Amino acid sequence: MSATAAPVPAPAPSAEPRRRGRGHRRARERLVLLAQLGPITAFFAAFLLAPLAIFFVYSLWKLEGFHIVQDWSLSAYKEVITDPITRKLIWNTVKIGLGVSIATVLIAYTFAHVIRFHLRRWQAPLLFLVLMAMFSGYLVRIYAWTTILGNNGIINKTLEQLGVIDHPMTFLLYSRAAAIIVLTNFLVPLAILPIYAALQNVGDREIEAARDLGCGSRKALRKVIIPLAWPGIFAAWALTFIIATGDYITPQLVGGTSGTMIGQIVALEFNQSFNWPQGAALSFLSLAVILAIIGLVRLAGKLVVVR
Amino acid sequence: MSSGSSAVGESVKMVETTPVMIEDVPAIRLEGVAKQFGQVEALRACDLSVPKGCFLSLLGPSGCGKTTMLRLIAGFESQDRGTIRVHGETVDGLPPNKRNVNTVFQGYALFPHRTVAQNIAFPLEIKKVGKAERRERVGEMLALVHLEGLEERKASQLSGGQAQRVALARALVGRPEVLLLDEPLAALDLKLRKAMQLELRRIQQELGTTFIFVTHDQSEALTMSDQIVLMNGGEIVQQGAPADLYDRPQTVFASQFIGEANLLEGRVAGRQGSDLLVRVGPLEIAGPDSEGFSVGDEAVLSVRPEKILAGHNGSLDGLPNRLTGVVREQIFLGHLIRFIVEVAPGTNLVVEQSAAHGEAWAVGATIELGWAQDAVTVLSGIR
Repeated sequence: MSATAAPVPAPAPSAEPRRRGRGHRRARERLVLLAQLGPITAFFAAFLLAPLAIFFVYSLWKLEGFHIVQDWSLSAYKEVITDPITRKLIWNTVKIGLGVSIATVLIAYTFAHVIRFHLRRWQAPLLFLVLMAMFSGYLVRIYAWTTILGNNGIINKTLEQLGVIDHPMTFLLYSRAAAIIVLTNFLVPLAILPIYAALQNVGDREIEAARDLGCGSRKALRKVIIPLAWPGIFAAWALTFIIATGDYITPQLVGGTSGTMIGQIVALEFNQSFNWPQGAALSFLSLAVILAIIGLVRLAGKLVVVR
Repeated sequence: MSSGSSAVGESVKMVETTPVMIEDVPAIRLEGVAKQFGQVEALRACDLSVPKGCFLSLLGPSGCGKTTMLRLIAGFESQDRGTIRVHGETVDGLPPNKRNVNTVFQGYALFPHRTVAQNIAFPLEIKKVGKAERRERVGEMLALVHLEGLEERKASQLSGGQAQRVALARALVGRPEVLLLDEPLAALDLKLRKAMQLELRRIQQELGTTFIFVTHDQSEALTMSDQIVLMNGGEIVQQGAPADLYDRPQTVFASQFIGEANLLEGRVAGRQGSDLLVRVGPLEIAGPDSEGFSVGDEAVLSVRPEKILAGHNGSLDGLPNRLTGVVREQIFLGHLIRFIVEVAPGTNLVVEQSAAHGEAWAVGATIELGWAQDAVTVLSGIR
């Protein structure tokens, strides 16, 4: 082999190793990239995509008797969509979710705005208090609210003693309002952080420019501050909307009948009826509705707020 | 209050030089305006009068109060004492949006979520100007600042020079009575800055709007201004046309801050006709009496390096002030050659000569220096 190759002039011997060197470097870059993105990708694949895929498959099967039959059909979806109770529950869930997320964003924005623009010296301690609120347990807080809103709770007892009311207001607890109040209380700290971060990026100069160019303080808020902080506000809204609509503990503990949410029914289908196809179909249906609403709000934000 | 009265004297002098403006109401008038931040006195009882259609620079080192003055006029801060008038009307207590004064900010402060055209249209949008007129006026502004074709570009995608022009167009589109510019060229590189200086001047002359331009760069102020207000330590030091400030500085600070100056400290030794004779070490130098000095007063002589002529063998015999000295250093600056000449033990003069026409004196050579009688200014010793 070497004997036959010898008379032929070596065709640019340097080109080959250099190319290999470059390929080598590219391979190494790929390896580094894989090492950086690999773990998180694997995590999401294993714990998010895989379960979703599995349940998607279940949603295409059906339950006969007490057995899941691997019979591909859309019957689970058909049942869920045509059931008026499901539709009502999804609507109820969306109402609670919108109520919670809008109330949360309004409260969180106000708080973040005040510490960003008016109480700058107290920013650090106030943000620390916000984080502290997130440390306290979820269930503990729900039970704390039952002692506040209940028939023998702080509000009713105080008002009774003041003579404002004769009988406790029973609608405070075990109602849609209670679910909204408790979830809002839980989510406000979570919403403050992205909004505050976004407001930090709104420069004083831009606000001054808005004032200089004819905006009163309300106009400056509407035309400059909110559009510039919109990504953070939208993120906070979407985050709280998803968490609120997905919750099934709070409505169970304080929601009563008017505060029943779709998550409770999904849990019921899986845990008690063992109707996994229906539960999965219900989950995907509500997921689609929620994503559609988020998409609409995103579009509306682009068209109305950030102009 | 003494600084206040001297500033009023200045404005009177200014009116003399430009008689057209006598009965005109000034575009901006400050009367005894003072502002304090905590313990820091940012402005002390400033009086200022800015004629209509004037390009006026507020010049001074950082911390001299020039930006504070601008922010008070714009309405971002409110003064502790005094009154500010725009075209004769007091604006005290009015928010920025109620003053017909617009600002070009140092960092431009464009709205990053808007395009170039949307940025420029912003003030019109707020004033609810109709769409057709809005488009027309934005077009006019784009043409004025030479940005045609960039309408749809996002503000965040502009270069420094382009952003600068958008900021200018946005501030001018609402046709303010007065435009305030807060060191708008500071972030640009030297070449672009020089081009923008001429550009700003052109725009100002085209529109006839009053410009108040804050800068710490004396050459910028000299290039662009009709009037310069020199500030230091929260006070107005001197106001006048650029040539006025350069040729007739009234304080040591003014002579040092604007251009370069040889400063010779000495004492008034006597008089020679209407001139003063000032003794500086072993030398006796004559200069015009401007402030009513008396014999024995401390005085500082200020001579610009380029006004000193150098020669030898009696070639400067016609000049009233003549010295001999030894060349100690020669610094080549391209268009100029700078010499450091020792005229007395420990007393050096900086002399600048055109590199094209002057002689390149060697280090160690003994030369003669001289200057015209009005090339020197005698200043009081108080800095």
